[in-house]
Amino acid sequence: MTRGDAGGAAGGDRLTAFSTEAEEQWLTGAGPAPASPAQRLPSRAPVMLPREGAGRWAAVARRARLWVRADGALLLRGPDGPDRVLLRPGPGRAGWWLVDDGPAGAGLPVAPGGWFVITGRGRPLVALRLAQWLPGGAEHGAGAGLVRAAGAEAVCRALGAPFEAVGDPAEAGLRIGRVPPGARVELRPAAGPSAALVMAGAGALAVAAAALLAVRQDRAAWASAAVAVLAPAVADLAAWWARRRRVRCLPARLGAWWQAAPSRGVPGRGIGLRDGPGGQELVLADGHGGECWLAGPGGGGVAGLVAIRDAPGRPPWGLLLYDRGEQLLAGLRGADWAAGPGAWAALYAGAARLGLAVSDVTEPAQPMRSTRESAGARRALAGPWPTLAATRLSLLLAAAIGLTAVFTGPPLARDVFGACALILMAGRAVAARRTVL
Amino acid sequence: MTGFVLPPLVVNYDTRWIEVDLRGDLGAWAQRAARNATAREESRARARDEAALATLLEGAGALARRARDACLAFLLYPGAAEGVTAVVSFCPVDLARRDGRDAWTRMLGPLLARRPGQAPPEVTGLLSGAGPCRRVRQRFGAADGGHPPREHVGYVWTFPEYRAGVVMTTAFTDLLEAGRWRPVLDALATGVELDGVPGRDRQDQRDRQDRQDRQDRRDQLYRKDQQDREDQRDRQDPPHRWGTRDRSG
Repeated sequence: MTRGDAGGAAGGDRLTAFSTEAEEQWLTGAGPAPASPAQRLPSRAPVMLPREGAGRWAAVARRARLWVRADGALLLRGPDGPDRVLLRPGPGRAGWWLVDDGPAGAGLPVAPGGWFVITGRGRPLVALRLAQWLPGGAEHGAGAGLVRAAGAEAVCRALGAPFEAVGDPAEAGLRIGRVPPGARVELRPAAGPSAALVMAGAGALAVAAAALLAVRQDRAAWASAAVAVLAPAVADLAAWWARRRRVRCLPARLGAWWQAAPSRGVPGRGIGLRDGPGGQELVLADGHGGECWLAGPGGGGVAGLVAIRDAPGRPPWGLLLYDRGEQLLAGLRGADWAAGPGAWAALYAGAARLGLAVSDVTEPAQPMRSTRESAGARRALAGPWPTLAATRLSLLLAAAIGLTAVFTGPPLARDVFGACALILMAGRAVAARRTVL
Repeated sequence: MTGFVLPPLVVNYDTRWIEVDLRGDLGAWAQRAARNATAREESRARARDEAALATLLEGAGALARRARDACLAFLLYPGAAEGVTAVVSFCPVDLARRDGRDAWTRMLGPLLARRPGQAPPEVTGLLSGAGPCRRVRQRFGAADGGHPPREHVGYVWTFPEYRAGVVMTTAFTDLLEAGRWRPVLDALATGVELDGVPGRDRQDQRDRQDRQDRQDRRDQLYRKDQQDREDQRDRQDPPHRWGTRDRSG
């Protein structure tokens, strides 16, 4: 899921960069005026959902929510623990989007996407790092449309607060003041080993086993070498199994589900709906552990899909997901979600069942990253195992130890050869990780 | 005769700004500007982006040309993701022999006009390379008034030595965009200089202008004659000594 991969027109990411077939028919007088998403959907529910992600972040994306209750209280449901009231109902609130260098004036670190700060009676009460809450990946910069799509404006409206942007540090300091550390709300996934730590641990184990083998080649040394070789691959397998279980269980936990139909079936890839604490929620699951949770159509969020074809009658090469404000939220490669004419008919029916409109657009085809590649990169960022780099490490270790064992030269040359093989293996593992990232 | 002379203003701008050609072929300018802007961006579909951007710039350029009294106009184009976010016009104003506080009153008056029920405009003082400048922010259309709220921003300079003032104006239909790009507008305004007098001291400038005024008076009849001739030749193309300095690199 890459936001705007296919929609990068000069006019920005808004859907107005395209004209749909329905709009063109209307302009030529051959069809009725198409209803805009804002006319069709209710107003945006005052709820914010975490950004998309995989690995440990997927658990955060599934559970964490920030929403305004009917009585005007602001609540937070974190990755774990009970719901927390961040703000009780009260007057005099104001919402601020601190963008570009603006956060520096309020004592916050400058961050991509900026910060969402709520003040009351002239002092900051809550500050959210927006990169954790924007639809799409954290690596994207944020425009006003994306901040609205995240629900910041709807939250302010429900709190009875105006919402403004501040990009000037001096102005931010004047209007907001310094944000105390206690007012910062930052989502943190459950603690676990980072990929770098795991790879370093596996590498250290391999070096220790190789050193032991160099000194003595008895049964214990060979056993430790076998453990060093197998441990990374077993860990990969365990991570893969846990992810597979989580992905396949997702549809059963949702109220509605449309299963994607790529050329090779991917269980758990599709679009689903469920009711959340702040309104209806929609999930875009890639079947590889990546999940993108958004406000659903019933909550004034995702409005529909744009199917982009390079010629009328051809299968769409891309799918764009847009919201009530016609802001593009995600770009999907067509073949990864519905391959073949039957699959496309099912997509149209499935989208209608979920309350999503599907519009057709004719645009020349553009290269899009496959869902599997995107999922791999996202998983590498989030999980402890960068795709199968640990298994690659196992294979390279086995090759290095095997080559050293069959080497028939003098002991010193064998040790040098073994060290070179280990260095080469470590380099390959690091290169594999860099490629993934 | 008011003694109005266009001040020799220089506007320094960076890569986020595109200067609009207010007089030449708009289509050719748009294509040229789109080529330059696209060359700065990493884009996979550059030719397609360039054509789309040229169309966008041509439309924005036509909008900028609607300000008939503008001597300079710029488009705020931070990048392809943001598009054209603002159209800024610089317009000279005849101070009609007003000086000091009267000059500021004359310049700020139209910008401070309020409609019933609207929040008072916000006036902020800035120091630019061309001397003191005042920024006026005005909000129109409350959310409950049926119209989407919008923000007008004006930057005002007075140059009594030239019997002239300058106003730089723009408007946003999105208050978030207005807040986001205000520092960029401030930077453009504070980068305004008088040609040959960078970062001038106000008193020095006045002394210099007094001397220049005497010279100007001697030249006035000649200038008036020249202006009349040029006005007849092209009423929509007022003579000006303004310049720009692209600091994009």
